[in-house]
Amino acid sequence: MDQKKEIKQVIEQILGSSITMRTDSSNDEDKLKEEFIRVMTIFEEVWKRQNEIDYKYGADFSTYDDKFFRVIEGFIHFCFDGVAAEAIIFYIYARVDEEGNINPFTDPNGKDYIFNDLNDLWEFLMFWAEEMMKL
Amino acid sequence: MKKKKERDVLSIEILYDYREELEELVSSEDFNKLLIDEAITTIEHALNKKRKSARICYIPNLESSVVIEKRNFSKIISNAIKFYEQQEDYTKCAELVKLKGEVDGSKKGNKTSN
Repeated sequence: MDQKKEIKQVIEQILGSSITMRTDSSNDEDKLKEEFIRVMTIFEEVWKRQNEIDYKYGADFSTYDDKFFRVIEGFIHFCFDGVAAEAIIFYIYARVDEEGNINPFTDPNGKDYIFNDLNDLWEFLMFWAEEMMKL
Repeated sequence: MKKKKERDVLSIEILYDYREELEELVSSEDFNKLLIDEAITTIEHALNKKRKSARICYIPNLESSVVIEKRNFSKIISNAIKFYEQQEDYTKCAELVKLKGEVDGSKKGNKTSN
């Protein structure tokens, strides 16, 4: 028997009534994560595009785009706690070095975190939010 | 296990390797109480909002929500009354009996109006 059926039986046994297991992949947290990943993917693409133009064509747009990136960074700092904001900005600018190696993000306690992708960054942000709640 | 901000939908991850572990869950008083209390809360919410079903909790590892239909509200409350009788929590039993009366009353009302 599959797990869904087994869990359904257990819940029915506890509640003393039949229930419906409704497939519902999109709860509030999932939606938030989805939106975060969507926005971060665009941010990452814009940053990579600027670097590629410089690398391929020798056109340095960094001064031109500087204010644009500062606005984004400003909003990130506005919306997130200091360490969380640093982790997000680190993810875009410093996570991968020129050789393609993944650098670890170091929190204020000296603990390293490897972000292989945006899911890992999200997990860190959720973990960090819980740590902040404990204070 | 944690509660979410909006509409207080309980999120429970149920992970196990063997069927026996699941049976342990059925015999766990804490887990029974958690589910029963959440069912009662969502039934009350559904009654207030005049809904035909109530979403008790979300199980993220199955990407599924546990939903009860209005026709089963009364049965679930009766089961909750039995649970609290065993717990000798008669104040809770009295509250549930009152709630069951409301549910049964609304059923009769529905039948009359149909």
